Amino acid sequence: MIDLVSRQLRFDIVRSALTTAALATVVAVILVLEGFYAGLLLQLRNTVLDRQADLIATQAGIANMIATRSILPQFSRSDVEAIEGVAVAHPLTGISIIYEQRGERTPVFLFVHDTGGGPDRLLAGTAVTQPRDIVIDRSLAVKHGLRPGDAFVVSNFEFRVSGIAEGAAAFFTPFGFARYDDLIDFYFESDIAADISTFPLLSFLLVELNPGSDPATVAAAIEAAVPEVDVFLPEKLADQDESLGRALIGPIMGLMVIVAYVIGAILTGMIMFATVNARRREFGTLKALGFSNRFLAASVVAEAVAIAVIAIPLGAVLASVIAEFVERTAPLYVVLATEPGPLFRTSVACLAFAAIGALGPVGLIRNVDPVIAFRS
Amino acid sequence: MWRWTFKSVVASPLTLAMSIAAAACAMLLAILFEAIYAGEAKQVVAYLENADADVWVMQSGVSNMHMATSYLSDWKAHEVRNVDGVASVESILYLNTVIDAGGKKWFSFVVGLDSSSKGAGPWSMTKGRSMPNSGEAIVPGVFADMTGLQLGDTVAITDRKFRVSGFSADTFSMGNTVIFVTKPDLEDVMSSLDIVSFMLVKAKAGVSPDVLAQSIERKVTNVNALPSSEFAENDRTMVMQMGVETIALMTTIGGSLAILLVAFTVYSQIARQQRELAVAKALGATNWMLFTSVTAQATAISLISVLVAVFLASILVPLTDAFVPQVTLRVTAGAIERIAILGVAVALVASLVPVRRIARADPVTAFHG
Amino acid sequence: MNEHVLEGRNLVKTFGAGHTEVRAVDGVSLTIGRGELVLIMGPSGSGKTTLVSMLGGLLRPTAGRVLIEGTDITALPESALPRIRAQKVGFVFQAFNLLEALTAEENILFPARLLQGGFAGARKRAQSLIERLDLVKRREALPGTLSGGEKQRVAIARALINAPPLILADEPTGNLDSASGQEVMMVLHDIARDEGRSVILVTHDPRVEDIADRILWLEDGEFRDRKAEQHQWTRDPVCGMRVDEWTADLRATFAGQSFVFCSIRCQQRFEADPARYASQAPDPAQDRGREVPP
Repeated sequence: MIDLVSRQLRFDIVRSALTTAALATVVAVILVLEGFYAGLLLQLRNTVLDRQADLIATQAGIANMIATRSILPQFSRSDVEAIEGVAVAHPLTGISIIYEQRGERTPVFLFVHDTGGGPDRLLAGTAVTQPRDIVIDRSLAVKHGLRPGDAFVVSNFEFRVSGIAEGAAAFFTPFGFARYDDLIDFYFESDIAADISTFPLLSFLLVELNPGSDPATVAAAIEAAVPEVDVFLPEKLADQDESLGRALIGPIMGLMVIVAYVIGAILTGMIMFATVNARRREFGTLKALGFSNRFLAASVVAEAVAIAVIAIPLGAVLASVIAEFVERTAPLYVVLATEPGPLFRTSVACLAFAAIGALGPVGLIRNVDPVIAFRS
Repeated sequence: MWRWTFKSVVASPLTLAMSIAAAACAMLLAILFEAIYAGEAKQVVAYLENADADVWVMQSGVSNMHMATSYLSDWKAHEVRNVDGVASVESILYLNTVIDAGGKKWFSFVVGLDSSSKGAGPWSMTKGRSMPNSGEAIVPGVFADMTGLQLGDTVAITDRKFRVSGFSADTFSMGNTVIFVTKPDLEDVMSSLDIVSFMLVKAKAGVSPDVLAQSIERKVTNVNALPSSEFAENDRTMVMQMGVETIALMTTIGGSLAILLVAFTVYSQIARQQRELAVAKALGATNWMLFTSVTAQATAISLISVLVAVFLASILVPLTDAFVPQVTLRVTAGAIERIAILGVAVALVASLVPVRRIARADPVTAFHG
Repeated sequence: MNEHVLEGRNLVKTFGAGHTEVRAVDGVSLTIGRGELVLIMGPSGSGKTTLVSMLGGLLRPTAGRVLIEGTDITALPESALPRIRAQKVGFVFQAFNLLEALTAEENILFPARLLQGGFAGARKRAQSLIERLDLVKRREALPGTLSGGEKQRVAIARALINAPPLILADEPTGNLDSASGQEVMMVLHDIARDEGRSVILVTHDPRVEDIADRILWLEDGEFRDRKAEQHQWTRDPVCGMRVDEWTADLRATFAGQSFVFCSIRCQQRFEADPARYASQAPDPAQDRGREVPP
């Protein structure tokens, strides 16, 4: 049987290659879509985790970091630092800005930091050290052709790019990192700030604990002592941002993945149908020679499964190549193309499609009249 | 010749239908991604297009509403009102944040309205009142359907609770949901005072928005004034630019899949017809005639796939509106144009695959019984 | 006007090279006049199909020339040959080779569509061919539903649609029962006689010999004089089976006497012990020159 299948596959090599390529592409498309979604969620998690805090304090009632507005009173920083077990509380603020260059606009989420919470990984240049320095995500640098040393003008305020960060983006938005002094200048330069305190100046506190302190205990102590804040373990906040991301983007990605699966199912069915249909005469001859319907059906299923078995790893490789390509050309996105979960799901689905798709034409085999072998 | 190739294709209708269906799905994939961005872009500007303003005034250096931060001192409204040609001015406060309905959260834009607001509130309601009172919020009806919210239930915006007093229509999407509260309530949420985000300016009869925007910028310092059409276009363009890479990627992926599918169909057809090709050649058909007929065949399949894809999209859009309300899809004329071009490209590339088989078909084999 | 519709001069076709070279056709010349029905006969593998392929412009000869109505088709570029085939030659194949997706009438019209402007009068011609070949009731039928005889009549109509001066038919009765075969032969005969088209018929069918103007005997790639008798029967010395001495491929000589075999198996047995079989062999002369009774 295996011999028959392998001969059959080698017999028309172009056809086998096309079918395997088509199936591999479907696998790759599903993996890329799933990987795109997984990447979006990972970016949301990393936005929280890359701030490198032991605990994160938000405005009371706010349980997310991305896409939300959290405002903490200025005094809350010293209140939190007064709690036992807290080594330091780094202030962090997030505001939305829009960067425009030659008519092309990109929304940027600007993290304003001071002693902690800056970019996690730098690809080029330095962190923010000088007045008006800004670190921007690689995607923003690639999209607008920016390099360290270049001017970066937002709302008539000129920053200077000091460094390029990697993996500093989430929710289709690249991040920028600047210092508090510059944020205040930025606000003042806009010339409408009657009262600077009305602007968001403190969104989050990144709490660093003394060695040996228990995060849960300290968190409870902070919440008890400073009612204006809620305190989260970074993992917990990351979970909440991820689930917000799932709620927002999940349905549409699900829809895309379903469409990809439908393509996979139709494609496999089509391939197997065409394969069997093209070999009706041969099946007639084999039946005339005494092969059973069951054997022939099994050989068709085996052939489909063989194609799938080749196509799955090929698809995974193709998905990695596409992922690499996407991350290079559009570094705003992370594509986790070969996550075990989606890889397993896709492999099982692909094998199932192959087997089911092959069973479709079994009726065709049953209807093949062995007499066909005697006709010219 | 073409009659022959077409009849040959139609002779196996099931294979043909399947390949068209699969290629259409591949193209649909390409359409969908743009439809998402186009849907979002439509929702992004829904508020801007429906709010009653000829000119929008915002912080200098800002020229978008969404994902931008704009703050103006509220006394500037008086300056704007004094500009020649201004009929009326209305201010809103604006905040992007997360709204929480019993643990179900959604990314939203919150608009704080003056109690005297005429043209900045919801433009279409499904239920309840269109103007919020203190402590009240108007939320999208779709959000209520998703979360089971009833009038009188509460939602949380940051740490403040609001009673839902109305459900608005046409204000919901994945990334651009609009909630309305009173301006004092939103000031309270934002801990701000005497600050507005945008001013909606109505022009006097006969005054063009462009001219008015220019005179506002001349008379009032440190503001940016944009005619509402330009302001909306800025947001629309920005959203579509955000999607450029992913749309291109999905178009490439969907296109490659479609190429493989159409190529497979055409190739299978040619492989099955190998003997007939030899006969056609023996009877006097040239390679060129056979190539062009295969290309025609591939073109027909892919263009039908394009039509089916557009048809599927036109079914999917109302279906998702009805059953997956959090996804707003919109198929633009541009997307259809792009997919049609893709279809032709698919056909041309796919018809190259069997070229060798056609060229190698040997007319002498027609003699072999 | 050149009355030779077809002229083949010193046609040679070799396949392979070096020690694997096979000369399928070896220096064949022939001329066919207008309205002539010529039979090409010969044993299997004698080069008939190769010769006909060269005459019809499907295969380029290694050496020699083919002229159809005075045009040297061997001097034409490859790209010009399809037009020659469509215009000048009508093919009839043993396996009918109808296009399965097209109806009988569409099959008949197919070559007309290959010629620019050829389609204009083709419908009328198709109509008269359909009537003449008794296909009126089957014009809309797909090949799969036609009988063998009907298929071959459709194929003949197709060969005639562009009114070519030359018809090449390769074993046109090979897949037909005797009644249908007879009918097809008579149609071809009428085409030559009534329409003045030249017909070359490759066949094994001895019944056709009576209607042919000329019979050419091809053997080992060359035209040879055909023996007066149709067969020279002798017996395989090993199994005793009847074998035609003229066409048999398997031969051996022992003690100055020549033997032919039905199969390699018999030949091998003979060569293992020639003396044994040579002595048992019936006198070849006993059967020579007359039919061995079945």
